[in-house]
Amino acid sequence: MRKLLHFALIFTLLSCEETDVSEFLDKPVVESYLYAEGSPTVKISKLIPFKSDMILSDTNIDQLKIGITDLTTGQKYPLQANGGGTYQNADLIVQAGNTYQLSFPYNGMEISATTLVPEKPVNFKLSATSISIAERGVAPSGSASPEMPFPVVLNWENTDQSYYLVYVKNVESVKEAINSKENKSDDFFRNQPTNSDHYQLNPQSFKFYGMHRVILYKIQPEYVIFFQNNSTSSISITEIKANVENGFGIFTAVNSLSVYLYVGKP
Amino acid sequence: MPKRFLPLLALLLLPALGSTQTVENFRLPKNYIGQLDKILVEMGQDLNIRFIFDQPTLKSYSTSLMTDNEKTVGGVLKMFQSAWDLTILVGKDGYIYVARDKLQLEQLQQNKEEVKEEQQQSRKKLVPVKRNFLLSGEIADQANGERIPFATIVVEGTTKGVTSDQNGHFALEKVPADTAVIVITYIGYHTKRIELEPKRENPPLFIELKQQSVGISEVFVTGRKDDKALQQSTLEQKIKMSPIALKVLPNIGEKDIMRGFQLMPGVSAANEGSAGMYVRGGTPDQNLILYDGFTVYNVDHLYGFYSAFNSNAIKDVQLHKGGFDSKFGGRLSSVTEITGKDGNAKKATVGAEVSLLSVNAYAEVPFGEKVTSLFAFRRSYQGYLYDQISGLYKSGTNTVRPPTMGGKSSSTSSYFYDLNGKITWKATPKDVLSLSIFNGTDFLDNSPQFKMPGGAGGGPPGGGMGAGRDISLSSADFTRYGNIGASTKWTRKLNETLTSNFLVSFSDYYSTRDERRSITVDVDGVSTIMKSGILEKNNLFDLSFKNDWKYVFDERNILEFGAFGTYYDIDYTYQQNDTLTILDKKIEASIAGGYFQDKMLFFNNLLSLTPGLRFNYYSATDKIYLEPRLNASYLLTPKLTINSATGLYYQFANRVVREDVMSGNRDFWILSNGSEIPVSSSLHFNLGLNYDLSNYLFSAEGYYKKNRNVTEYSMRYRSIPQPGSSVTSTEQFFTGDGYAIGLELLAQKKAGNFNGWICYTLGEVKNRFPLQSDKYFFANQDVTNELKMVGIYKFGNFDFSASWIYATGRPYTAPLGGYTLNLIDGSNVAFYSVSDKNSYRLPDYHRLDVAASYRFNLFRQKGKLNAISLSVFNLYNRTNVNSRQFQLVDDVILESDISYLGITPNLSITLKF
Repeated sequence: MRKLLHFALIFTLLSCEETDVSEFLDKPVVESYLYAEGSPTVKISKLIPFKSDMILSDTNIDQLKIGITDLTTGQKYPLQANGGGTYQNADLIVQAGNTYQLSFPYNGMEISATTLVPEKPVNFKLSATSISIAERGVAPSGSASPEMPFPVVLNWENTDQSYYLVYVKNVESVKEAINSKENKSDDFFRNQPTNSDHYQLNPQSFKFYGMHRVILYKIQPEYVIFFQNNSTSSISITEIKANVENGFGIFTAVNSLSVYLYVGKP
Repeated sequence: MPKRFLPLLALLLLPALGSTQTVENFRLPKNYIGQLDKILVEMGQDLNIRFIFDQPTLKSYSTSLMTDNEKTVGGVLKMFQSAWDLTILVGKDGYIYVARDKLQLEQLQQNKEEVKEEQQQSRKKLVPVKRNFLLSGEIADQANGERIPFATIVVEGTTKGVTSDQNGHFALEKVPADTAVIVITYIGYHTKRIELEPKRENPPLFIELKQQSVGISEVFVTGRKDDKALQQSTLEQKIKMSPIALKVLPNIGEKDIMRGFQLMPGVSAANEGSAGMYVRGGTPDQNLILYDGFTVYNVDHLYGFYSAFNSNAIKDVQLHKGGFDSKFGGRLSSVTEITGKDGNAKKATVGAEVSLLSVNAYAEVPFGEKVTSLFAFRRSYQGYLYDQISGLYKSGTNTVRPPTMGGKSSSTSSYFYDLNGKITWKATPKDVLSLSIFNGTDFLDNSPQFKMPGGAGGGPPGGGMGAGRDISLSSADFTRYGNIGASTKWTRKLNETLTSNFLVSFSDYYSTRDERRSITVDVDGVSTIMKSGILEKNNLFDLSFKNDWKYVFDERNILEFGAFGTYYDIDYTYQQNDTLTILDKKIEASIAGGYFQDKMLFFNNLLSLTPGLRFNYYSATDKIYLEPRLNASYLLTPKLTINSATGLYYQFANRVVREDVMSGNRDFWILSNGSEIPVSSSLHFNLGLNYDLSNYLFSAEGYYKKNRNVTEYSMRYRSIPQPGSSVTSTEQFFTGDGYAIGLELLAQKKAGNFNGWICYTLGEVKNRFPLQSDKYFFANQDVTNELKMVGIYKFGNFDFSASWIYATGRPYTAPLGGYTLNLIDGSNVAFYSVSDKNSYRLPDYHRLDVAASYRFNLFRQKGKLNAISLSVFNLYNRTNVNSRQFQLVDDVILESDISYLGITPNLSITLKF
């Protein structure tokens, strides 16, 4: 009986561990890409609360004291509000190789984020400058024509397994669809970020004829995670924690090189 | 008592018991000619039925019963009535009374009780020849010679008892006298009493138990009725299952051993998506599953809706819910010990079952007197049920669709199969060798295939392009997973007190998920393949040996000890786009060790103590892990038992679940490496109280488990990949500690045409991962309240059953807020800020299942072996929620439910030949 009482005691004592309590905190969302040799725009927005009892603070997103510091040179650049939560300083021209830090106070917290501007990709080459793709959707079934030359491969140097993103966009002002049934498709496509040194273009990804700009972005690790699987299920919903302290979103630097590829008819 | 009733005595001493309420339908096995009293004695022995009559009366009648004319017992009885005007009564007590007239009938009925008493008195007068002797023997199924493990053998009126081993052997030490009565019980079988005869020699007994045909007539059963599918042990925190009796429970398509256990206290039931068991707050990978001695790593068929075990190939299942013995190890929570059938030793039998989900066939073939074999195969077909269940997952599948283009799409195919095989060779009376094989595999293929032949009718070949070129594009959505394992076991009974088992086994778990889009371009015979998407592979190979010894000093001291070793080779990779390796784990390790445990009885066998120690050497950490254990039970009164257990448990191989609601959870096995995946441990404290009456069982059991180094794979805080190295899992595993606590209550009606149980479990499971927070959070498997009710009613050849389950909703994580970002490709993507882990609860889970089955005789067999069953899953079509989906649309976060299966009827037919 004593054992029983002892057990009951253990049961009572141990069954009341404290559990986390969820609370909603108004943290800002940052969105800013630092392109080398460009002047960055910082966009601040507020979270969209899930439930009505989650209250946002009355912090005005257009009246924040935001600054970017070039940690390499020590130079500070206060940003001016342009409305709609956007901020800029035309004097700030992003330099490759330099590290920049964003900081501002928000709802009693100090928000900060740091990023390093990568160098331009090196030895970026495309194995062809033009390809031909037969019109799809008009030929009888099973008789589509091939595309040439194939495969089209992009190469670049990547000795340190940095991350790269390939982005291809049709730059024609008047779009001529390869498949007339798909004339409302996106005029761009991209790959998943890769730490490889090459990428094969998939002819099926092209939706329009004409000139395409092929951009190779060298991106930073803090940005890669936004391209990974993004669960929306309660079983595995995740919060992406990039590099914004006390906030959400991204403050990252990008460098890029472009080449052009023409897609014609056979 | 009149002397003339003495012949009746001889009949009552017949050990065999009849077993059906339709005795009249029994067919005569042969012709009977002679005096009626002798005919009835002979027929009673042939058919296991009991006639009660006055011998001098019936001696005067003579007849010949030819099977050409009289086919059944009922026909014979009618003939007696019409020919000689005898009074016949098939009594409610199960005896067939044959009397001259009503007056004699009344006398017979009155005297039956007196006979019993006389019988007992006469035994008391017997003088024993031997006292305190060792009685050994073997227990087998009367119908097929299959040896019965874990049957209980006790001396009537005492607490002396043992259980039979895996081969049906038992050795009962210090039987008080050779005039004692031995009672043998095993669930799903008639209890048998053996009245020993005083003799100088007591050769080993060969005891045959008779299966309870499902529609047992109450009148033929004496003693305890154990025709239940599930039985809770009173001395240990253990549940025993009789797979043959499972068919009476509601099921969805298959009678499933894992689903059966889920109806008992302490095993969580609200898991339609996992055939694995959540025992006392543990996860399925913390449950050791041993199939004929080898570990099975995957038990799921079809997204976990069914278990991989074919109940037609299984003889016995024991679930140790916690505080298990030293002979088991390597898991934190529980042990499921499955013993495969040896196969019919008496004759070749084949059987088949068809349900709306699968076809199931088995064959049991004996070779000579010493070798038995069993083969069972089950395969699903893509019918109504398969589509219903896979549709639950596929409806939300976010597969990459290939661009619309000319070409042919081939049909998709998905199925599962499992096969079981076992060959047993009773080489000598002391040696048994067996080989057992199990394989269960699922193929889920939702990949559309496209092919575009080049050349013909294509555009004009420019610059030599076009001809001799094929482009095929496929979008894979292919999953294959399963487990194959085999064991060879040699059991040697060195003498009546010492037995050894030597087992060598392997087990291989494999899982591949290929969700890659691939384009193959074939130019003049040169192919180029381009792939993008996800490829996930996991393989676990386990090579093991075990050597177990059991020495029975006497029934009050049984020592077990042994040695074991396992070599593991596990690898796991998770790749995106052929290049981005998210996880890549490869590890080889070995575990070696030994154990001993000593079961001792004290205070006139009222107190049982089993101290034990298990030690493991684990090569990956180069450390020794000691696991002390202690089990105790005490009989407060013959009906009231208290049991308790404590022990330390280590786990080296862990299954990690990467949850994916879109296409079913994906899991993978990894080995602890001592650093980011540490060796986990659990300390158990169990206490139980059981009040066991002949028809009812009341039980209360409590448990507390303190878990350390619990590991969870999480995508919640994804690490920032570091350039310079491929991505490793280091920061995607969270390690912490946790506990599980609970109370289980059970009230069970064990016998009668209406039986069943009600059970309630109050539980809490929490973990804490310091890297995330210092506070405890509810583990995914936490269920606060769980209530289960099961009722089974037998009516003639019909069985009706119903089960109702209620469980508190599971915890889940919800967004607190959302935001969108414009990525550099111009796309606008939604992201979420989430609540503290598992701080919300899904709606409560409840469900009612019902079933009805009808047994019938099709092939002139004895008994009713064939059945047709109709069951309805989720009768009132409750929408139980599996998980929630969130979507950010126009500055509002929308929430939608992903539900479990709604009302689903199923029909199955069982035929035996």
